[in-house]
Amino acid sequence: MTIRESLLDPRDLYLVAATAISYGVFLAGQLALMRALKDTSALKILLACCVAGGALLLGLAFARPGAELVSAVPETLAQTVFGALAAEFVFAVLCFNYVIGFFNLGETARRIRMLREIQNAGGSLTLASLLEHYNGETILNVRLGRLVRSGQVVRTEAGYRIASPVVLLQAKIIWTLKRILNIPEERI
Amino acid sequence: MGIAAAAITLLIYWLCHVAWFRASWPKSPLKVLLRLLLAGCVLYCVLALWILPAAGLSLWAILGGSSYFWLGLLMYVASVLAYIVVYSGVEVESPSLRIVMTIAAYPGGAMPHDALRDMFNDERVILPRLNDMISSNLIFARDGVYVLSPSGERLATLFRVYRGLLGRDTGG
Repeated sequence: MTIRESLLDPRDLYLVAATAISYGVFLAGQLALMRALKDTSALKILLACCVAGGALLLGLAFARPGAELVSAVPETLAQTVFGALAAEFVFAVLCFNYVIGFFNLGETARRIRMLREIQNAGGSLTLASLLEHYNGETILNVRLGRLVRSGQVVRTEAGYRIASPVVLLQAKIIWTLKRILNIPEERI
Repeated sequence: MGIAAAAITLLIYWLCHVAWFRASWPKSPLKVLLRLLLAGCVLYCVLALWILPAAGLSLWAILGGSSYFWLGLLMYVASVLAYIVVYSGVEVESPSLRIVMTIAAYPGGAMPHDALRDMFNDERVILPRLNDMISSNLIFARDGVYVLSPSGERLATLFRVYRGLLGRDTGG
């Protein structure tokens, strides 16, 4: 395969286009559903849209409309499965990037919240005024509420206990990465 | 070839990142990670278009049946961006993860609310983030008042519009 053939491979271009279409459907779908179903958990909506986008991508990868027109060499089933899996992987990573890197930033990031507090106050704010609206106690209560609602932590009369190992596992992975990277300080 | 090149480039990216950060901690880790991402794109192209085809990876060629050049490039870039997202949680730990770790490590099982409250004071969870925002030029401090910079204003507006489109509250 020459460099020109590698760059203009119709199978490759088709799968990239199918991934982009599915991702567009995921983004548009979650936006529409979030607006329409305000009382439904955001996580459930994002998960549902991710599954729907993934199913669409799988369909597109196997359907390959007009494949015989764009490729002279017929594709075997193993090759179709390989291509579909690769595209699904890329789609899943893109969804992860959107949910954790963008949606979650607006949902939980302290920096964004504080920027918005300052903006709402007309562009400037004293520390005391900021802390009236947003402080350590607010953060603790909001986060604990989220952890209890999602079933990660359970509240008893004596206090809080871990109820599910999912977030704990995530925390341990991050702790391990900290050790590998030799991160100098403990910061919250 | 593209998928194999993406996997190899990702591995090299991560090893370079670990070696660099362990040798000397950069002033701006995010900039270093983004520069490594770009350098990795060049490496990916060289691997996918010249080195791997010249090495004759016939198994990949048979199984793949395609160059997957663009899909592989997308895979590499998306994976590195996902890694950067995870890394930001490693550098500055999320309060939620810290809560979970603290509760898990609490002797005697159930952790009282007051013990958690002592840990989550403003000096630990608010002031360091405000200082980060000053060093990232999102805000500046003037006579004891925090003022939005133009880039901070743009970021705040972006999220105000975005959250408005989603119909969600301020978050945080």
